[in-house]
Amino acid sequence: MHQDAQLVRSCIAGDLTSQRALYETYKRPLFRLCMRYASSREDAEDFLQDGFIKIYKDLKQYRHEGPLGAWMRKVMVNTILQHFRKQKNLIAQVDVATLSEQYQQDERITSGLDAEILTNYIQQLPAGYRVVFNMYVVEGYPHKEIAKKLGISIGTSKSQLSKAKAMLRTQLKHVFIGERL
Amino acid sequence: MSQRQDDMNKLFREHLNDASSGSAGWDHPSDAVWDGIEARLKARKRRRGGWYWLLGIPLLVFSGYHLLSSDQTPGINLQPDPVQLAAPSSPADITGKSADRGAFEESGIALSKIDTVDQSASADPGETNQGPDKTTVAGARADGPTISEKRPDKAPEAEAGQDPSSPARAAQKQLPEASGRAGVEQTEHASTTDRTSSTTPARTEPLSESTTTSDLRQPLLMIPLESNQSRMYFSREIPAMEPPEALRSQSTSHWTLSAYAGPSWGSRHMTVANNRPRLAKVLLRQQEEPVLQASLGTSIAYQASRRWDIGIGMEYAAFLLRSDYQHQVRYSRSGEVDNGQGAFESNYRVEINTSYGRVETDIVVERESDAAIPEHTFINLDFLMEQSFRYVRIPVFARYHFQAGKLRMFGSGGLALQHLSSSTLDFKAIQSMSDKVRRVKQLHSGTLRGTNRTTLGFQVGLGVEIPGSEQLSFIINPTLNGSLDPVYSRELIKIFPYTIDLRLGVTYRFR
Repeated sequence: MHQDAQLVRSCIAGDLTSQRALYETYKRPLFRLCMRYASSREDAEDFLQDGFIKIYKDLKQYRHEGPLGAWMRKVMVNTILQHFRKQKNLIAQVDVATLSEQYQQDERITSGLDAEILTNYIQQLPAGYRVVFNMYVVEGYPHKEIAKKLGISIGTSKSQLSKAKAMLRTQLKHVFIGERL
Repeated sequence: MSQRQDDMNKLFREHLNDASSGSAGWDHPSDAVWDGIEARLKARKRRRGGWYWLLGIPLLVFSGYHLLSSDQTPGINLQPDPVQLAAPSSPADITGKSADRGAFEESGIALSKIDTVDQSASADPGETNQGPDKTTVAGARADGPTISEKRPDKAPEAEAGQDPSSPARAAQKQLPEASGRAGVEQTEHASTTDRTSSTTPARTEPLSESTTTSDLRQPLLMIPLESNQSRMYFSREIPAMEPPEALRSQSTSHWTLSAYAGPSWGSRHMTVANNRPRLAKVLLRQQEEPVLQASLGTSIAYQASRRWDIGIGMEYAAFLLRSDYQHQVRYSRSGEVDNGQGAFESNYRVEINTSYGRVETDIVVERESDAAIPEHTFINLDFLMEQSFRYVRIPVFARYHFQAGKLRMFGSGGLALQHLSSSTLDFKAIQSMSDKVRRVKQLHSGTLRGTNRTTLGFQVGLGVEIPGSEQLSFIINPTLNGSLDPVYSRELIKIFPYTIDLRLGVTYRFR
């Protein structure tokens, strides 16, 4: 805790070495989070970069009331949500033809759930389903808060979650069967 | 929430947060991420320290204002020609000699005299002679142009026929004109002096003896000739500047109509907040090639001054953007389906997102059944896309005319409201570069109908005007049309389309 406080002070002062140290400490868990919200690795890296810039900018507001990692995670999620809010009326990408990977049953799944594979499947969900799924299932936000943050109705939030789960269930059918769920 | 759903949620949370699972390095971002963060942090530091230069802006504006507002208008003749101001031998010379009068007129100096005269001596039926009296010194430029008047100056012609030997007649002519002339100061001076000092009618009264030629050489001076006598005002008149012959035709109308058309070349400027190259694994190649199209338009302009026009127009422009992409995608045998014709097919959903719209379609990749490939591999797919854009623009512009050697030229600039009236996208997957997966069978070629967008743009151009006749001239006017608003804006990427039009047309000046 004391170490975190010292690191935070140095980062606020603009010390690049400290800022790099903070990045190296938290980049992996935050990148995993970004990967779940993004549709591709490069989008995830974009989110990560934007999120860290916001973290450095808002570090003065950190009150040391909880773990630094949890606060950074919250800022990262808010940065990502801001991106999706802006995207509501805009087109997601620039003249790029993207191919969704085949929804295929990967043999590795039968050997147990893998974070990377799970993340890949989540990435293949449509953006709206993906965001709601992450916020509800992984982050634990209630539908009311999801609706408020995304500017959608509670009904839409529930519907998107339901569809996301249905799609994932199809992919993971044999997993659930194997796990007797 | 059902138990089953709770379990599923728990399952996801546990496995997604398991840092040890997954292939090595899958949750490590590339080094380029920190490079981008560092660059943005350094850029922010530089921006914060650089505000001091803003203090210089008011200084620049203030200096510029003073420079521009100083009186540098050419053509003002503050000092009349000494020859023309040869002292008259008698007052009659001043009042009667048209040559002198003409000289004064040519020098651009208007003379008016307010004098206290014998009111009762007024004999001009046209003059109201009540109370303070007014008279105009003969020789004044009574009928010439003033600052507020336009040319042509009819005074010399008008005066040419006058009988110089008739001062009264000359004065009679001058007074009504002088009193009706704008810009000439006429003030009244209450008479406190002996009004009987002059017995001649007001308008023919010569200058008082105290008036000397030297006074006439000093415009803009109020000279108390006598303490209780007349005052003389000299008003300065600026001769109207004749426009250079080559600049403008001799039309008296202020309106012009132009029509033009020509080739147009369009492209777009993209700004990307971080210049991190995209991962090669997904997008291998992206090339854009603008294609020549056409534009046409018309405008109407008002001649606001000798060099400046302001106007409004309507234009139509089209441009085509050809793009070539190569994607690398995962290929898995487990997703193949035997088509019964000696080949296996795999379906791919293609989603094309552009700045102007979106299309979804499917393509099918075929693999010959005897071609052995690993269970999982990567293949390359080439896509060719053509996007066409059609804009309607309403520009509001200003034009500045100038002479460059023998060429009549103009510069133009302004703002434009741009409306993207339509955009279409045609794409097709053309080939696979993989050794093993040789054929791409195209199921669907998509055509995109784009969203309509209205944005603010700007125009800047330089043109040459080739006179054809008095009213008609030809123009060659390359113009750059750019966007001030991006047609696409995401946090990291902004797109500003632009076109360069070569406008060839005609301009017609109304009479």
